[in-house]
Amino acid sequence: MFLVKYGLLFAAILIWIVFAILQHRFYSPINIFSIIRQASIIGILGLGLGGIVINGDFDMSFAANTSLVGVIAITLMMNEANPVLIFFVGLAIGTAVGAVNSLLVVRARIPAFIATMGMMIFLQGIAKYVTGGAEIYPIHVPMFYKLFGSSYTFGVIPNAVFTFAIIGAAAVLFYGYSKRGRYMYATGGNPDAARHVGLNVRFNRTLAFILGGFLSGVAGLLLISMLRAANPTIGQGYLFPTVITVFLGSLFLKGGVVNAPGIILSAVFMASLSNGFTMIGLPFYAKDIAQGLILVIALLGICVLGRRPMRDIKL
Amino acid sequence: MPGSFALETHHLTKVFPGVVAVSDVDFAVRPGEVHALLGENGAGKSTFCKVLSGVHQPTHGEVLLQGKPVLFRSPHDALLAGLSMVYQERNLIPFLTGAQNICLGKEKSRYRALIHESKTRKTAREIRDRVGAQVALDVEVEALRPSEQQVIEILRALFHEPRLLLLDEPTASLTHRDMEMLYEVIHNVVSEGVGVIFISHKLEEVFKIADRITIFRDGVRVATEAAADLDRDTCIRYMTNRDITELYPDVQAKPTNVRLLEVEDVSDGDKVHDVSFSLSPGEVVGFYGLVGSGRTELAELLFGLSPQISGTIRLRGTEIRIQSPGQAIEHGIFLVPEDRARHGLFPSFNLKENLTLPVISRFIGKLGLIDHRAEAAAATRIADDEELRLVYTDIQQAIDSLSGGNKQKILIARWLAKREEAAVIILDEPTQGIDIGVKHEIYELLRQLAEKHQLGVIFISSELAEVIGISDRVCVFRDGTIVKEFRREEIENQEQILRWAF
Repeated sequence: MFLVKYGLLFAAILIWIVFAILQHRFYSPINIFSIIRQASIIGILGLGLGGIVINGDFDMSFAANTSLVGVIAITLMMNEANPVLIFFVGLAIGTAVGAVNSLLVVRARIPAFIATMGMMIFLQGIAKYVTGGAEIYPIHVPMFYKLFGSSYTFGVIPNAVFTFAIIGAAAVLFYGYSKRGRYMYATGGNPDAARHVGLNVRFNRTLAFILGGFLSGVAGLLLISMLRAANPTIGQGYLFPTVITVFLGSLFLKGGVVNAPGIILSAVFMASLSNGFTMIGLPFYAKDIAQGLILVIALLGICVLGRRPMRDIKL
Repeated sequence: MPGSFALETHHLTKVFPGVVAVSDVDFAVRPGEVHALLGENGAGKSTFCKVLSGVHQPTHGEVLLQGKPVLFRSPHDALLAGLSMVYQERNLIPFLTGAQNICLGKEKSRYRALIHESKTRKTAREIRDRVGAQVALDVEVEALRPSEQQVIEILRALFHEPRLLLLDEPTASLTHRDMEMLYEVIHNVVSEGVGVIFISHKLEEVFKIADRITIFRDGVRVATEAAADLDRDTCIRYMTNRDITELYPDVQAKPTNVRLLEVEDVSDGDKVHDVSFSLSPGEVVGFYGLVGSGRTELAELLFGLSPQISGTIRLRGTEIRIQSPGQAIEHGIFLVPEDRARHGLFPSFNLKENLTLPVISRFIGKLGLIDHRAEAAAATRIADDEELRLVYTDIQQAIDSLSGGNKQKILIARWLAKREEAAVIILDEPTQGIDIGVKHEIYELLRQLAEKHQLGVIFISSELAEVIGISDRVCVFRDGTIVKEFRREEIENQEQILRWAF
């Protein structure tokens, strides 16, 4: 059980050692920060999706939400809108999408997977409409966004890391140590029993969708600040890596229960894997093969060795 | 003579962890007879039938079908060997027609690949006409009345040409007129030489259609006699006769005359109608009735899980509206649900987290975060409560590592944490599936809650002896409402109460 509980950490340490032996530049501060920077988008999205999964729901649309926030923010920049206004518009769009998801799933009781799949396709369409399908970039990126996503503090620490760190810390406290977090685990763990102890199950689920939407907005803004450009599928590539991150992270510490420290570690692990594979020059398909294998093997470990069915994960 | 029975059992015993559900039962059904099984809820009839039909395997003893020993691994094995069971819950596919449901899995085929619908329909119609059932076979079964659906289920069981048919309370949800059709069908089935085992709680119908009656009590077969040789009172005496003196705590304290909870003519628009009763501080009121008679449903209404359509509820003289469990809890009305796993426990939470969930707000420290040390201390205090006698090794242990009795105590303990805010505590079947020693502890705990802490306790149970054993008053439920109330001193024997419940 010890092996299962800390397995992900051991695996991470193992790949860090292997990559460091094969490629000495892997341990340079710049590379370490670059890994965390890569991890930040998946990590932030994962912490949002994680809350939804904790409540027993799912969201397919978070990546498309990220794309839409990105293309709208860039479009506004091209029109030289106020940078702070752009920021709030981005967050508002992300949050609104989460709220609509919650109406569909929690109020109208459409199965989450299908409702948010519909939302995903719809948002992709809107993003294509906004950009005309093309890559778009502003001539001038406001200073605010350079500081937010693409500048470095002391020349080495990418500023994106700060956003990830703040959200990560808040999520660890919220999901793991707050009353509302405990209620969310109760809701996902046994909704009927949660009702019987007087919890407001609908409120908890709604809140998770809204928080997830908000974090998609944050991720979208961070992403375009890093890239200084956007296209209608800018976020879509994060869909599956984020899903993998959330479920892989659930194996850390809690043996199959989604948790914030697990998501953060697993985001860093995934980013390390992808960075390391590139640095030691493995072919382009190696990353996919490795990620898929790692997820399946880790799940096998839980279900076979841990002798504990993954009850809280219903997909 | 071997082989002259459709079905026999010798020394049939089924043991579940901690409970002997069926004990050493010798039993036989003749071809062409209707053999009724009678007994209180939990007397072992259903388990007995589930062993016969292959849902469970016997712990000891054997089952003989037409003289040959058989061991069924599954209901499908039993079906192939000629034993069909119709369960209490309906098992039809709602959007298929009656004919399609009857022939499901054995459809006539055309070109070896497609279903031959007209032939399938013809087969179904033949079965229907043979037993004289009047039911449409070409409409989707969801459009049929409950009794017609029940008939479809029986026709489906007959499709496999069984030698023995098991019917588990087939008339439980039927109207009087529909029952007649069902009796007619059963009569025709029997005249073909099929043996029928018929479980029912309705004594009238048992006397009407059964040839012989077997009575179960506490997992043991206590009598088998020809229906003509039995009467209603004898049956009830067989079902209930037991010694109840030592198991129950002394009931001494008299409840006060203060009205804590007053319920007047409440209905939920579905399963509960026009219920009135009252509860005093320090009083245990027992709700007795058959499953589905409205006792659990009333508890759900009082706890805000189902809507209150009409009537009034007053707590300490003030009228209250309870629209959610959260509101019920605010008023100090707590429910310990019947289905512990489904409605009570959180499998992914440990013991501590399961105990503290309703009172977690008390352990919020800086930044709105849970103070884990205070939480663990409080959980330990609740778990070590001397009246509770919870047996555990570690306050952080996994919930699945606790026994059924201790799981039940957790659900009670969860509310004990809020004892100072409590007014009424409702316990739905709190002793179900629990061994006798722990049952006794739970009885004492309930009396304590009433006498020492002056709560109003509502105790729901299908086991009449325990209801009588610990209640100050017993309310008898039938068909969604309270039909009779007995004060403790008015109760002379169990028959008195059973007459109102059946």
